[in-house]
Amino acid sequence: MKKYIHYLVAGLFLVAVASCKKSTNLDIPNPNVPDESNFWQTSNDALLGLNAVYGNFYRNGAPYSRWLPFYMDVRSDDGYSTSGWNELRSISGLNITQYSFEVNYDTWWHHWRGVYRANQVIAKVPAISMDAALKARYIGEAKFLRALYYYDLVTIWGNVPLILVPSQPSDKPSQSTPEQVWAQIENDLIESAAVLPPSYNGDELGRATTGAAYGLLGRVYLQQKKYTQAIDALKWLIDGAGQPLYDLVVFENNFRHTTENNRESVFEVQFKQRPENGGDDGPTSNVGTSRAPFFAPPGHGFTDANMHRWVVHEFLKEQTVAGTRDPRLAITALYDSTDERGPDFSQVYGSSFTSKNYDNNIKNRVWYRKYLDDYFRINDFEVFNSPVNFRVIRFADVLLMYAEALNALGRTAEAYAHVDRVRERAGLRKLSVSMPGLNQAQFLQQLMHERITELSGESLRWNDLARWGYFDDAAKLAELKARDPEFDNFVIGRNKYMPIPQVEIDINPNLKQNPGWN
Amino acid sequence: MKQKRRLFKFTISMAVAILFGLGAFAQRVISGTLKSPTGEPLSGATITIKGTNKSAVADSKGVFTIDAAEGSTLVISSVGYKTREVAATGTAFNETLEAAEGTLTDVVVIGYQTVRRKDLTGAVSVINTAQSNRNVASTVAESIQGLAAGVTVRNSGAPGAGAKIDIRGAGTFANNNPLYIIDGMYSDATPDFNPNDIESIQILKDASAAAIYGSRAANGVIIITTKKGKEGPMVISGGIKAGTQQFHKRYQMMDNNEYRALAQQLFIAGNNPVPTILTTDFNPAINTNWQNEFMRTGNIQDYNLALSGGSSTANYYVSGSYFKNKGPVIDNLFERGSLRVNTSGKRGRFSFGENMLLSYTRDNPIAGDIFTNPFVDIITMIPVIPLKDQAVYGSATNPDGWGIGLNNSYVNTLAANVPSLQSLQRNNQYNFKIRGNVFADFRIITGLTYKFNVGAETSFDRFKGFRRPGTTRQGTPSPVATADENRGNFRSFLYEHTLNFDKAFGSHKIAAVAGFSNQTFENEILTGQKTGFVPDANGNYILTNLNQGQNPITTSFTDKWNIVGFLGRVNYTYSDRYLASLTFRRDGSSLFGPSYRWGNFPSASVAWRVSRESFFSSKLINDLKVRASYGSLGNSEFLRPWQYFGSINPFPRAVFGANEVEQLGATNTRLANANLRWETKKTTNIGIDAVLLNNRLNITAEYFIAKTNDVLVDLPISLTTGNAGGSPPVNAASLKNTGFELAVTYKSTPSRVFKWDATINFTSIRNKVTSFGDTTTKYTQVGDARTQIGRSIGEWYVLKTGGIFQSQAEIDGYKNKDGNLIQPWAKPGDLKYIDSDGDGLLNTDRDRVYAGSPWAKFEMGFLFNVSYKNFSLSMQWYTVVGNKLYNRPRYQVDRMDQNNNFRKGANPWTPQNTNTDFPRAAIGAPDQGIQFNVLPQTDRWLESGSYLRLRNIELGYSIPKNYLGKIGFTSTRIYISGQNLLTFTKYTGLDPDITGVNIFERGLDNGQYPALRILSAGINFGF
Repeated sequence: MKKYIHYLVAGLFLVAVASCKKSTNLDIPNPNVPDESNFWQTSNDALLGLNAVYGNFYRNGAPYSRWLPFYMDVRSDDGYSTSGWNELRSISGLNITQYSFEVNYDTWWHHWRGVYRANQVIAKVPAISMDAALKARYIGEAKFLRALYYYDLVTIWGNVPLILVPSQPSDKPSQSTPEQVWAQIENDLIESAAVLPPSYNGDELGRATTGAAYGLLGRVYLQQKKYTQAIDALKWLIDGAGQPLYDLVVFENNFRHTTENNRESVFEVQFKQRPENGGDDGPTSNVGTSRAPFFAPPGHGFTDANMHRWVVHEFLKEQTVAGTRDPRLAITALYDSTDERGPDFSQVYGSSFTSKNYDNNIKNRVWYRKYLDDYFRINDFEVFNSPVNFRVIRFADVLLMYAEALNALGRTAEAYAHVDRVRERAGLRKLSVSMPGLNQAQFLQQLMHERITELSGESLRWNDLARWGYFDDAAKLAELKARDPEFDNFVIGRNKYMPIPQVEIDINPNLKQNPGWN
Repeated sequence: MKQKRRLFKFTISMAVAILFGLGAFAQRVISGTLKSPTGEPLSGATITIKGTNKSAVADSKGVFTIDAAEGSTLVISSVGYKTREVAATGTAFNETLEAAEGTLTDVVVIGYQTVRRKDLTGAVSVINTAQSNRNVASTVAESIQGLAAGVTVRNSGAPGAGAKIDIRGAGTFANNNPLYIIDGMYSDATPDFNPNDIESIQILKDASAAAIYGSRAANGVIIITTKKGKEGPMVISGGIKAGTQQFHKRYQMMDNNEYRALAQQLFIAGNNPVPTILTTDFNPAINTNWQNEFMRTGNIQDYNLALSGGSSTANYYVSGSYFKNKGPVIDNLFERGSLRVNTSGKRGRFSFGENMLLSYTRDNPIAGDIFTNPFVDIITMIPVIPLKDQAVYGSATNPDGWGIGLNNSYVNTLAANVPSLQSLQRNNQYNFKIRGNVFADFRIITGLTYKFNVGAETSFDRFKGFRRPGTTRQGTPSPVATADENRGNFRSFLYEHTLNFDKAFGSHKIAAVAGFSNQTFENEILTGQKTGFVPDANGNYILTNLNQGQNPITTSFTDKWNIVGFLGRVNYTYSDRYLASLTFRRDGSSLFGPSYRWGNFPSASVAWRVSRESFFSSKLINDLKVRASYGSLGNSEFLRPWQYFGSINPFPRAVFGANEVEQLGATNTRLANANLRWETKKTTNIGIDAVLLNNRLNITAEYFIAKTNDVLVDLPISLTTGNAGGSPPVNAASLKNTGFELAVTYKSTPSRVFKWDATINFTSIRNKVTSFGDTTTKYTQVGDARTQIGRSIGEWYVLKTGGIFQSQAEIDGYKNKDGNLIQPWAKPGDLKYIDSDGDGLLNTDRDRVYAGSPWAKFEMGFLFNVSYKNFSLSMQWYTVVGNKLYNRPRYQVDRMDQNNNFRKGANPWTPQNTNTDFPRAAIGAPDQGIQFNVLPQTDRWLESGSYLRLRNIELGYSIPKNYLGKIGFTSTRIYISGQNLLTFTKYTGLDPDITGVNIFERGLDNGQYPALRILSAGINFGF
């Protein structure tokens, strides 16, 4: 009997020890996702990493989705907010006190997420052994995207750190000067312009091209008033090697999902409607834009943003050659007279303005119409997954920027032709016919009008105002106040830049809050 | 039988041989058998010869042998029994010991070993399970609030929700949950556990007590032992309890007319059009009380039945239970059914046993989404909107016509219709769990036992959710009809080999254990979702399974991790006076990278029973012991598997091309720290145990210092890193908790008719952050709470208000030394803010100051039991004193710049109404003064969280046997009980017992499901 017991005990031990081999293993492979120790190895990894940089465009605070228009359009003198959400309204109201509230937080954060993703590609892809041309292109695309993110960062917050390598959790960077950031943006764009292809075919359409890099580089130079360099960059699209690729198209085709990536398009964020719209990166990630609900009129959206009526009057200052109203007005503004014949004919998502029975307060409002889905969501509420690509740079803007740079260098006569192209598309008389011989200052004043009528609602206005000195000069500021009472809250030296989210200052003592916001 | 006898003899002879071998001076061998009053053998009883150091220990049959001189006296003592003195006459006798009244002789399970309470050298609390079972609780943690010093429990009232438990404060930023050891299986006390099955609960609080559990024990250990059968015929016992459950408090909100008047005033003040629902379209008949629409009287039902019994060699305990809690809000339910089978048996040198639990739970939680906290929205939603009105609110996206804000001039509000969400979203979580262990003991020689213990826990989780289309809040689009089904399977296996050695050598007693423990964990989740389900002709969704619908999405993931540990402990006792214990554990965990996997966790403790010294003689003091311990424990609770590498997020997508092809993307999105290592907690504990006044007064006092180094924390990192998906864990801080605990129990002199006892627990803990990982970090700010070196975790860090400016003169007079106005934008009626840093500017960052701590200065439990004849009354009080809470729901309704409902009596400042605490308010004004009046980061929203609560009161009556004997009942007790009947607090929220949002915002009431009032009655019986 005892013997058996001993055998039994010995057996138990053996079984236990054998069973332990697997269970005592402390090196368990992760079956769920790759990790950094086995990624960034192949050409496909490089492509996945690059696509993830583009993928950041679908987040709410990323450029040209939900929130950026509140900074670039609604905050400007052409827009105002009537949002019931006090904090959201305060961006437009120029009197933000909650620096870390969702919108300012997400916009700041999602831009840095883009920078981090781009930095990974720029840092990791060079070591991958793969086709050299493709490698150069991937890195070029990543640099273009990084430049695009930094352009927003430096124009919205002004004083931002310059982060160019993949982040470590303990990083607490200090701010660089805006000049350093601008220099880096220029650098990235010059490098990417050199390696990006002029165009793509088929399923690659929508990636950054040479023209996109030069277009953005031109914008970057112009914003810094480096006019000669701006001309050099934009020239590539207008009468350089890129000339055959670009032209103006039917105006409204710039704001519809059925006519995307057309000849006027220099760079677009590619949006697509899918039924699910999960907020963050996940299997149901949204790849549409959630902008429209915030801009749509009552009954179709939250109506957080309105356009000032003076913008409408800007269009009405001049008639077309044919004696009709500027056709761009109906595309730009949704209001009681989007249709010239008035509220009975103006369509709001498929039914007449009159039929909406808006009360007096609402009847007088004007809404931004570009990028609304009102042309296909008939009688419907806007959703967070609009398919309309955002035209970050379109050729009309390139022409107007070019004209502005030429004029700034005293080459006003040369500038006329480029403005005329834009005006002719709208059916207006050539400027060289209707206003010949403008001096430099007059021409700039006219350009401001041209940009309002052509580009309102395309997230360019705030930086236009900044470039034209409206934020640094009390007399000019007075003009803004006259057009938009929200500017009564504008303090010179403070409101040009947004406050950095307070949580960020709390985490990183090396960051200094922007002047005036402490 | 023959075999058994032979083994028995073998045991006796072995014991005798060992005794002889140790050189005992044999004069005469006395042997005997010791039994309890119920006939159980008293294994482990100590037999000493009075006046000598000679002693023996009874074996598992209660049999002992000792040699004693003629005429000497044997002192027989056993844990839990009254000590007896017997004259050593004859050579064999049987003794029955009476159960002891005191607790000193209780056996305390300390992990792989048991000791008598009086032999404890570490800090251990023993819960009175009779007391804890009085509470209706879905988890063990909830049931022990206020019952043990040093143990802080914070409740959520949500049916089926767990409570938060801190043992001796928060020593980590992670989940501070203690380790639960249930019948030897490492586990957690989830709501699947039937509290009626619990025989005992012991809480190991200091390092020396918990060190045997090494890297798992830093948050303390709760050891739960479930009931076992006792020798004798089958005993059937059971209980039925039923009761009602409701919120003990509601917010007093405005009715339609009050709201209408104030809202009109605020819209006009903000220069905004008044919604027509308040003017031309006002309907006095609509006066919705959203709290009434959401809340109801819930109920609980609890049924238990247990069969137990056994022979001298085997016993069984089988119990079944069903618990159902219909929650106190609509569409809210939790139910649990469980079956437990505990058996054990002996055969020769072997003993075997198993404990097994099968449990099933269903949880139908309240529906919420990322935008909706029901406990906020029921007070913000305005009373002029009806619950439902198809004619006004019905639309394609709101097919049921739920009342919500309409995006036009009729009515705008961002508050949600909470009942609509409850109706539109159906979620059910089902869980089936098997948990248990099987062990085999082999007695190699007397005093040396090998044990093999296998524990297993597996659970099958199933989630089914269906969301019908329908808008629940203005501006939030209706989702398409969506069905979710998730399956989870958790598996954990524990393998343990231990050797126990237990031996007395004269006055020296050694109890030692050494072993190997290893546990594996695997958690698999599979999720499926489809959308676009189609209703039938009547608009009902019948077909809601995943074989319907479109756009299938599936995901799955597996988490796996292993822990390996070597353990050892030696307890040494000399002459019952000097006690020492040394413990060592070495653990390896797969949660760390290869270079940081192993950690060593030693501890030591000593105790001196002063009262056993010959010089000590006191009539007053029956027993006095002083103890000290020091030890180190590990912690990795914070980590999930594979966090030491940055993982690649496979989900980013990018769209390209005319055909809008979604191209795959992948990149790192969540940063990682590669050098993650063990958190270590070093605890020093000093304790005194005293028994006075004829064993009627028990006092235990403890002082401890616990320092945790390398605390793992997901310290928020800079957004400029681009990190997403959660901050990466890092060993970034040191914490120190210092505390004092006192437990005092007094029992009246036993008498037949009248008995009473009372217990007070007192706990005071100071929590301090002593370092943060890198040189530039001095604090972390989460929400409005800041955690800074030199202070407690999560102290409130806000602007200070200084009343309301009553006039322009006051504003003009609020100047800095340069004569500039500090609040130039202010208007009369606006809040004055204190320029705390004195720089002459109001700065929403720099002028924040510390304004209170979420940590209680002290907390206290008070228990009182009294019985008179067949009646018994017990009361349990609990108090928390000195903490500050942030009342976020109040912020939402008092800010008054959005169209919400308001609290009754709210009256913002106007030139005509200056005698008020509410500053000037307006809806929708682009006015800087209003912006500052609604700042969330101010002390205006902080409130005292102190409270005193009658946690439980129970009145019981035992029906005399002679009434029930006829139907065979041997004991019957009926009772009525009330839980949370009285709460004394100044806190204006629903309940001051707040679990907090996370460790850094521990004092934030974010609209938490409040603790509930329960009235119940029940019957317990046995036959």
